[in-house]
This record gives sequence, structure tokens and C-alpha cells, in this order.
Amino acid sequence: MAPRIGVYVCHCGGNISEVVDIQKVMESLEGPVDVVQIKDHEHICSEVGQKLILNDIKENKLDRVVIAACSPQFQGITFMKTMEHAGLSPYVLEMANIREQCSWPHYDYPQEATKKAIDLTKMSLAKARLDIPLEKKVIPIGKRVLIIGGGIAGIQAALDLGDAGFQVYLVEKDPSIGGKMAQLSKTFPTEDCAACILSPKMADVPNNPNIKLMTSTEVKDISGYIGNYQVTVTRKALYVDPDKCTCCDKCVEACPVTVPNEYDEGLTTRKAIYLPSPIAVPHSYILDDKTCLGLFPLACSKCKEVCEPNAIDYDVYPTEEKFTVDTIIVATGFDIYDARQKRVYGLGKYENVFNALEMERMLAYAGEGKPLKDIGNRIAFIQCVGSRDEQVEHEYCSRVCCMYATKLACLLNRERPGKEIYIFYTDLRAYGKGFEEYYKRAQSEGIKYIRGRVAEILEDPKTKKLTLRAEDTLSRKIIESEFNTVVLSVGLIPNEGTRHVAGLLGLSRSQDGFLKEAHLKFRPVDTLIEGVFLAGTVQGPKDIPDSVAQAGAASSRAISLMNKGVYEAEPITAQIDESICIGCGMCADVCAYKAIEITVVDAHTGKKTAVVNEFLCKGCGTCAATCRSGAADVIGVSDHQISKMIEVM
Amino acid sequence: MDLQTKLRQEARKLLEEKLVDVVIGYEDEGAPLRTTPCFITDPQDVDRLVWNPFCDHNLARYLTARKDKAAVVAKGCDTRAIVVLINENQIERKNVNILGMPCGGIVDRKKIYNHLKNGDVREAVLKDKVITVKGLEFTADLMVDDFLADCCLSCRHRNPVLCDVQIGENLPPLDVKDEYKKIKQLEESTSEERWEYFRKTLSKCIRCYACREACPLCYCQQCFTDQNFPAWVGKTTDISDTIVFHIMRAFHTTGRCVDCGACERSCPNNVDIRMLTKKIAKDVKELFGDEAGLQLEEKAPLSFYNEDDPQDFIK
Repeated sequence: MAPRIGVYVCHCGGNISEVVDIQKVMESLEGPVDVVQIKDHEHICSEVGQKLILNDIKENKLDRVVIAACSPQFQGITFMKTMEHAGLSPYVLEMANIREQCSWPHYDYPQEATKKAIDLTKMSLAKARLDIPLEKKVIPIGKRVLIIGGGIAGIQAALDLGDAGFQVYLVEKDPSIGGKMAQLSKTFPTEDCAACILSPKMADVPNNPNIKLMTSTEVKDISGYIGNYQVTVTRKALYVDPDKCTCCDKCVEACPVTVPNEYDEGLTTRKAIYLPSPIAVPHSYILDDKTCLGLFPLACSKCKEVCEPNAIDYDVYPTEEKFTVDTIIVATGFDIYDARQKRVYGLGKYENVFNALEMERMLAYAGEGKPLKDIGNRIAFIQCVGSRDEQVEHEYCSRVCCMYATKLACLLNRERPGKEIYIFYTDLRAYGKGFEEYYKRAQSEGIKYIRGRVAEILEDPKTKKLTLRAEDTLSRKIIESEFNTVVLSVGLIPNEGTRHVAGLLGLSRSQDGFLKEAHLKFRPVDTLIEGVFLAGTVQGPKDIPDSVAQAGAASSRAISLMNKGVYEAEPITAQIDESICIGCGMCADVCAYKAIEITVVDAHTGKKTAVVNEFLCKGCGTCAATCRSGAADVIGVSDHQISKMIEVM
Repeated sequence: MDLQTKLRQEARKLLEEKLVDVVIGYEDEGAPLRTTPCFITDPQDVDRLVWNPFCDHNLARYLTARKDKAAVVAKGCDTRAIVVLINENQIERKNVNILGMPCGGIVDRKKIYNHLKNGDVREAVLKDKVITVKGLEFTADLMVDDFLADCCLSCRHRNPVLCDVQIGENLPPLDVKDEYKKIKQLEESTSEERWEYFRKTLSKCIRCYACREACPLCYCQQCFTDQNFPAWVGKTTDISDTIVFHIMRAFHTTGRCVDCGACERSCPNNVDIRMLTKKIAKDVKELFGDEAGLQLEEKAPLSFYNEDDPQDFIK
């Protein structure tokens, strides 16, 4: 039976009709018997317009609708809903974009714009004839969430979801949660002590019955799709039973191995058996099997000998655990830029050059009255180290360095009066709530801000003092001055864990290497993978308030999906013609969503073909474009439809 | 012992010990300057196998869609094709036993016909490196090396890249002066000159698809040229159709073509097919540093991306 198509041409209140000759467009479509009606409308997206469509579908028994109006990106959803109201599949609707693609760009050429509008509408008509009334696919969805990364964003998301009654798996690769925030001295602009505001939140995590905390654990594999993600994690061997350990510290005294302490950025040392940090959660000693004198073969065993509760067991091995979740929040955080790559600043070479995180640790100890070293009276901060720097291919602004340098400067200034502190900056960015006020306050406290990039640092080999050379670009003077200590305000960069997880889930990354959100403005915590969300600095540099806010947003997005109990997936997916497919696997290789597998489909002949997981497939069509023999195609946007569209042009 | 005798020995052993069901090799059916693919299942028949510079078929062609266990006689380029076929799930490594032949190049008999001004060759006898050809009215002694196929003249993989048994010692690498001489000439010419060249050589195509049938990597169940729904390419010998066919076929070989030259040798009308495939292979090598069929489990260069992939083409 021939389809019954209704065509609507929209004036868009003059936006289209002032350029495109609507009458001509309508006349050009007359003729084919399956075009039951052609109408124009001032605003087809208005309520009146939608009612007109609804009514026509009923009266004229339309089973296809073509709307020549604006971009489907703009009003597509509106009209798809109209189709649903009328009891038709939203996938038998076609839109010809005669506004953004005709009247707007070809404003000065009305005749050509009209011609193009006719072509586009005819193409939509040709496609509509072959449209299939597809239905959305319904996937049941439960209430289990995996959160990868136990920094402040991961912790916040876990608490939000746990409190809302969802089952949370919080996976952290390090022995303690807390992330980078746990290393900070104080936080800008309020100067709250980082550990003081963070540790209660950290402590809440194991106390929440809905959160399963897995520290020293890495995600090994993730497969499946929304509502059915199969997760495999590797849990490292702990060697110390956290339930038995009383944190008596006797093992530490007994341990003969001394190594740099990561928590203090290597400024202090720890033993091979150690407490990760004073605020560690879970609060238990752990044994670092990479530096322990010998587990294989057992060579030392001094810690075990002194352990009274008998909490140490050397005979344990990494284990694998598998579980299923419905949604995933990625909160794998960031790394700091390795400033040793900027050789002119001499980090790692000069004794008194530090990166900002090292200064955070030094100040944390100074706050406790145990300064790690004398940092002298003249201190310089160099901003934008590894940020806004095309030389190191980090063109982005790391957003937090201006304020953390201001904070560190204020803290140093107040720690012992009589200091002279300079901040050499490119542009000062104090955009957040309370930031500008904080910056003003720092200036009033005597911190000197110099606009100019430091060209180089030279160290006096005897005194170890540092001479900085820079141009003050405001006064146009060359500054050459001596300092006791230089702090490099290092930028934030995507870390290895993020790369790993992005690979597992097939998440795309922005040009800066951070994970890419589905839409920068309207879907900032969603990804293009259904049911996977981003929280915190994994999506791009941000400060603590923004990370916490984003964690809340990610939780709420996950909750709104899971609370419905079912998820409706788009039916536009790839399909494979098994009679043509020869199983070469090229489509599986190019699939960004890992939606295709090469599978034996006939056990008797051993025939292998590509098989599409329709829940993972996004209908992007890369497979269809790749397939040499045309076996892969996209339902709803088939090769046949596209060739018919080209034919009528 | 010469390679042919060694090859027969090895084939006999494989069949007698029932390690394979069939040995795929070359036999001499009497036509001068030619050999024919043969399928030997009985150990007593192994003496049919020959090995000489006329063994020009790429026998990897016969490995796809087999369910038995096959041994195959394979030159360097043939083994590369086998590697690609394994990587593309078309054959299982365990089902193929590769009899690797170091190859000093094969004869392009079309060059001999050209040299003889298309004189009818009735008999050809190979001795050492000299072919004595006889026709009704002529006899000529020809040097094998003067009539090697073009692809052999720029061959960088004369020895098997993958094999179970290698027949004979490795050959030293060929001193290839300018592998892409012809391609570079074409690249440097104007677009009008190039178009004229394309038009001239591709208009000779009669759409017999011998190139496709000879190519070990044209294994699609249904070739795009044979499809009607949608019809990707017209089926006439009009230049617009032949050109689309050849360009599409060449693109389909991107990052896969091992430059065995089977397509060109099979062409009855001397279409310069390698011009397209070689140009694409050159681009792939320059852009992605990739040569097809050198490593198992290697992904085709167009099937994945790296962040440092060249993107100068984005203007």
C-alpha cells in the first residue's frame, strides 16, 4: 500500500518566507499520489501548528509527515512528540531544514535559496517514503551505580547516591579515598583547612550502608550497556587486615625500609608498611609490596613479628571481583603538570624550586608547627606552568592556579611576617564567587602581582638562591631579582587512569585530553555513552566547589535515569546483512562504542559475521561507511534511503 | 638440492603424515611461460608441483572459505596477503601451513609478448636464468631478470614474512632505487595530465573483473559492483563507470594491499591498476608508517586512530 504523506512548509514568521518562495516549494511537491496534502503555516511548531498536524493525521489518515522548517536539532523533539500524540512512530517524521540551510545563509540569493529548499524538501519526501515506523527499545534499569575515583567528586557523588537509596560501588585505586584535596593545606577563597572539611565526608563513606567502598582497587574491564554494565575490578593484595589493625604503629617502627612518601609529594619519607595519611579512609596500615624487602621469597617479616593483633598476612594475592551496575560515574580526577618538562624553571635541578602541590604539603606541616624546611623571606610564584602554553600543547587555562597561588601566598605571608612575595602571572583570573575579593585582600596584605612570564631562573651554586628574569609587561621594565624560593603554579592535566577508563568505556576526549561531555552547555555531566556521567576534574580543570556541584549534578542525572525503572533507547542503530557480511571485523575495529562483535552465527558452517549490540549502538554509521561490501547499514537512515534522496536532487 | 625438489619433499611429508588435507601449489600444464594452481591431496602426486619464475598466481586467493587444513606455496608477497587474511578473520592460522618460498621475482609474460611484438610463443624452456622461447618463425634466448614483473622490481619483502616451513635460504634484500618513481611522476604532473592518464588507461577496462578475482583480498561475499540495492556503481564500460569501479576497488585495498601485482598480471587489457593501489600504499606508508601484512594481530591503519595521527589534510 502506498504511504500517505502530509507535507508542511513553515514560514517561521518570515524567517523563511521572506527569502524562500513558499508557494513555489509547495507547487514543486505536487504530483505524486502518495503526497496526500501540502500545507503551509506561519509557525508550524506553535500549538496551533501542532494541532493542525494532529488533526490532519487523523482526518487524512496520514502515515508519514514531512516538515520543511528549521533544523531538526532545534524542533525535532517537538514534532516527534506530536507524532507520538497522534499515535504514529516518531521515526516516520522527516524534517527539511530550509531555515538554517536555506533562508539564513542564502539571504541575498532568494531564487537559489528557493531552489535549494525545493531540493531539500524533495529529499526528505524521498526518505519519508522508505521510513520504517520504528519503536523505542525499552531496557529495564535498576539502582546500582559504579563510581570510579574516590576524590572529592567521587565521594560527593557516592554520598548523594547512597543517601538517595542507590547501591553504590566506589572504586579507588589508591589505599585511601580523598584524592588530591586530601593533600591540600587550605582551600581558597575561604581558607578552610582542606583536611578539616574533607575528613568528615571521607568518614561518612564507609558509614553509609549503601556504599560499598573498594580502595586499592582498579577497574579492569567494563562491558555491556546502560542497565547492564558488567564490571570487573582487580583488588590489590592489602597484606594488612583493616578489621584487625589497631593502628598501633609498631610495624612502622620495625620496618627497615624507607621510601619517599607520596602523600607528601616525596618531601618526607615513609616505611614500606605505613598509614597512607593521617586522615586515611579506610584507616588502616597497608603494606607496599613494591618496596617491601621481600614477600617473594619472604625475607624480612619484622612487621609481622611485632603485630600484636596478628593483622599481617603475607600470603595474600590480588583478587578479581565482578559485579553488575546500571549507571557509571567517572570521577578519575587529574594529575598535576610535570614541571620538570619546563627545563628553564629548573624543577628537580634547583634545590629551592617547588611545584605548588609540594608547597601545599610544606604549608600543611608549617600549620602544625612542624615546618619541613626554611623557605626564606623572598618567594616568587610563577603562574601558568603547563597551562596556556602552546609549547607544551596545553592551551587551556587550568582555572585554579591564580587562586591557589593567591592562597599559598597569603598563608606564607601570614605564617611569618616580613616576607616579600611576588606572583608572576599572565592574566589574573578571579572569576568565581569571592575570588576577586580574595585577590584584593591579598594585594592589601602586600602580595605583589607582576604581569609577565618568567623567562628563566638561575641558581647561585653556593647560596642556592634563585635569580628570576622577567618582563613586567605593564611597566615594560625588565625585572631581575633574587629569591629564596620559587613556586611553580602547575596546571592540571588528564591522568593515566582517565585514559584507561576512557578506553574501557569508549568515551571521547576533548582536544585538551580531558573527557568530553555530551553537550558543553546543556549536558555538561553526560557523556555520549548512555548511563555514563562525568564528575569533577575528569571533564576539565575545576575547583572544589565546581567539582562538588558537578558530582551532585552527575548523581542527579543518574538518579533521574534509574528512578524510572526503564530506559528508552533510540531505535536508530546499525544492522548487518548476514548474507553479505564476511566477518572481516573492520566495522568492529572502527566502532567507537564497542557495539560490534564478530561472532560465529552458524555453528555448522562456522560462518562468522558482525553482530551489533543494539543497546550500545548509537547509529553513528561509521560501520556502514567502513564496510566494503555494504553489509552494515543503519536502520532509519539506510543506504537505500540516502541513494533515493540523492536521486531526487 | 634445488628448491623444487625440496618443495616436493616437504609436500610429500605433509600429506603422508596427514598434517594437511591438501597442498596448494603450482603445476606445469604445458602452456609456455605459465603455471597453473594445483590442489594435491595424494602424496603420490607431489611431483606435479613446480617452482619457477612463472609461478605468478597469489595462491592466498584459494585459502579463504576452506574448511580443511591446507598447505600453501607462498612467495614473500603471498605470505603478506596470508597475514592480512588472518588479521581479517578470513583464515585461521592453525588451518594453514605455509610453505614459504624466498622469491627472486616472477616473470611478467606480457613483457615478453611485448618484446616479441606479440609473436606466438609455442614453447618456452627455462634453464638457469635463461628462457629459450620458440615460435613458429623465431627462437630467442631471454634473461629472466629482464622480464620481471614491475612489482618484483621494487619488492622489499622477497622472503616469507610468516611461514611454517621455509624452502631454501633467505635472499638478500633487493637494492630498490626508487620504489615510487612512476607514482612520483604522476603526483608531479598537472591534474589535467593525470586525468588524461587515468582516462587513457582505465578506458581499456572491459569490466571482466579478473583483477578482482585474482586479488587475494577481494574476498567479499558480494562485491559492491554486483549490488543493485543500492547500485553503488554503474555496470557499463563507459569511462565514468570504469573509473568509479577502479577507484573504489583501490580504496578498498587501503592499508591492505600487499602489492603482489596479481591484479595487474591478470588484466587482459593492460590496465595500469597498480598505479592506484601503489599510490594508496605510498600514502598509507607516509601518513601512518604502515605496511600491510607484516605482522599478525595488526589492525589496518584505517580501522583505528591515534591522537598523533597526521591531520595536515584538514585545511
